[in-house]
Amino acid sequence: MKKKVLGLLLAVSMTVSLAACGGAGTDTTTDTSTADTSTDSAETSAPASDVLRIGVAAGITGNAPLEGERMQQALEMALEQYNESDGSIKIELDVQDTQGTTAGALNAVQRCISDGCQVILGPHGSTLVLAVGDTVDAAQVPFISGGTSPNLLDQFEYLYTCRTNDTYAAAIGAQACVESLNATNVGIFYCSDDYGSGGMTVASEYFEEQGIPYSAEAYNTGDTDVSGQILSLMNSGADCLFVWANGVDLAMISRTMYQLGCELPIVSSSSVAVQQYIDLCEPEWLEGWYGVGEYVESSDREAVQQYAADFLEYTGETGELFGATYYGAFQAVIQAVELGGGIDSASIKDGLSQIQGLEVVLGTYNCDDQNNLMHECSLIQMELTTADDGSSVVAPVVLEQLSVDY
Amino acid sequence: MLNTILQLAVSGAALGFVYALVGIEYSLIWNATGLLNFSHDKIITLGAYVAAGLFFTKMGLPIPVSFILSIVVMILVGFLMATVVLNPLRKMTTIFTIMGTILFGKMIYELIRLLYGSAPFTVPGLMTGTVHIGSLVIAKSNVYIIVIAVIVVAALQIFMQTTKTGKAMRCVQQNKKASELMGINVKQNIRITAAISSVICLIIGFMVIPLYTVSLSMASMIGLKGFAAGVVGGFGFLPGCIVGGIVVGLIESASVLVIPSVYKDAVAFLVLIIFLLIKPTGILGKKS
Repeated sequence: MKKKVLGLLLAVSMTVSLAACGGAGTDTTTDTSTADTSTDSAETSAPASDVLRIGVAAGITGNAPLEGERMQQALEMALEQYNESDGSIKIELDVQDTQGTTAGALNAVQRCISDGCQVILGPHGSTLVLAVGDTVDAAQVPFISGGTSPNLLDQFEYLYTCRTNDTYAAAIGAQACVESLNATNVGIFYCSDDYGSGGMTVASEYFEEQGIPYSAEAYNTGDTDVSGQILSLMNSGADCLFVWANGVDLAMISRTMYQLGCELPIVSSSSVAVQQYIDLCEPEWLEGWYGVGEYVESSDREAVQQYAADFLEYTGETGELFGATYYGAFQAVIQAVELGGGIDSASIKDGLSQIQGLEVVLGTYNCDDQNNLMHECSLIQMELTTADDGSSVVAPVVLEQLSVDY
Repeated sequence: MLNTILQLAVSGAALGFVYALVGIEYSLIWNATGLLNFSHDKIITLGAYVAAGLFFTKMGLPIPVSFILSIVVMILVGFLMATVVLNPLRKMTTIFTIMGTILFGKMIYELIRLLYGSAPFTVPGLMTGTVHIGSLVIAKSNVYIIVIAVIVVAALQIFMQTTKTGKAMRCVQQNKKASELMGINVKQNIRITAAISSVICLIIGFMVIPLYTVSLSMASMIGLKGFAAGVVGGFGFLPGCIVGGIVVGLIESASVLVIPSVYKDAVAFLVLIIFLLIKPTGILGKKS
């Protein structure tokens, strides 16, 4: 009897636990007349015809939960600001957790589709986008993602990307190695996922075109020791390193390079300019690093300064790339509704394709024929400065703002 | 080349000692209860969050004080785990015991996420810096890990061999029923074992902060590799876990010299499979 009771208790607690950490979704519904925001359990009913339901596929749990959290916070802030300033469209956010996995992302977008969302923001990350693209295309729901892999180009009819594609960002980084740092032999260190591999492919092609010899080493997401790879690159004869890594790994990589006495100039992916990852590093680990920046808080652009101030006030946290990315995507949806003339998926898709010159935090959205909205990034360098309390801090400084047509 | 090999050997040994401690944890619980505890990685994470997140960062206490207070908290966590999971489930079928430990870990994970949020953080200046021996550069964190792990292992061996409680733990390991008949309080024994295991988790969590930063996923891989270390060395046999941990750490670290580095993670599990096929009792394990 006791065993049966225990078994039953376990089964119940497992169900509750899985429900709590896995599939819970939230609706953030805003009544435009009062601008009150309330959060309720998601229901699978279709929205009223006058409500724009925006699905949000965010990795709130999993390997990089902070990215999902910031994405959700930024979107909630965007919704609140929209209702305070305009509010002509009644909007609901339908937030679903991707758990940072392909299976989780698929569940999240399916839930958004079954909830009747007319547009979906996310999932973030190229690997997840590749996993859900066919499903969302089949549902004919436009979705906007921060995925940057070249593999996404022309893959899905309903996908719009809102960050600068790796094809360009990695090319800028590779170009900086050769033109700014006069590299004659480059070591490429990259994450083995779609993001890192995409950057590596672009950079290696560029170096081959330039006749620059290179060697490459990879690491896996979640690796904790990369000293073997770094030593291999240092011993390869490289006079410059091109590091295309995810932000959560930045502290581990920069610490290892610093501890191994690596004095080679380093050009990194945009993670190096993200404050939440900078905070994980000792200032001297990153001093002098170059990077391809997207969200740089020290930028003199007004949209960046405004977003940083608003986000700090709204959340108490420093603004960063992931929140800024989807804050811009939200603005794109609003613009698309105006341009498309309706809140149904077809009109929004039509409107998204028409977007030109929309100023957002990361730059200016100009939709091209491959559904890329963003074509800008900046070359930055990490500089050591002194904080108000006298301690050393490292912060990105924009060297050059660049834009391109793919 | 020699320099690179030595460099890899040091980092491999440091990781190996971490795996060894995780393997020891698995073995302690296994020996005391006959259960495989699949919540180890979450308890390691909890240890790091309690020490670095609660006492050091939020309360601003010095690191030694934070660590001592964390030991108290983790002993209580160990008692809790023994009371709600290990003792009630040890006589049930395997599937329920596995579910129980996984669920306990899930609950800890969610608790950490709710209390501390998702943002990773670190302890500035903790075990940073390098030691130069000729052209060899050794991270101080690796040195600390090796030294602390050796001290923990030695202390554990002394405890198991010389104290009454340690001897009782060894008796329970050999025959639980006979131990009960001889007057040993097995439930109490399991509580003490779980508390020791939790404290070891705290030590591991604290040691690896410079390597991994404090994040929700900081221990997921070392949990699995620690299990591999236990099997390779001889599951349930503490010296075997140490040997297994060092072997796995060194092979994994040296593998980048001969195979593409992207397959490094797979090496530990490949070694695990080879041992399961060829010598399932492990390097130092004995046939039952």
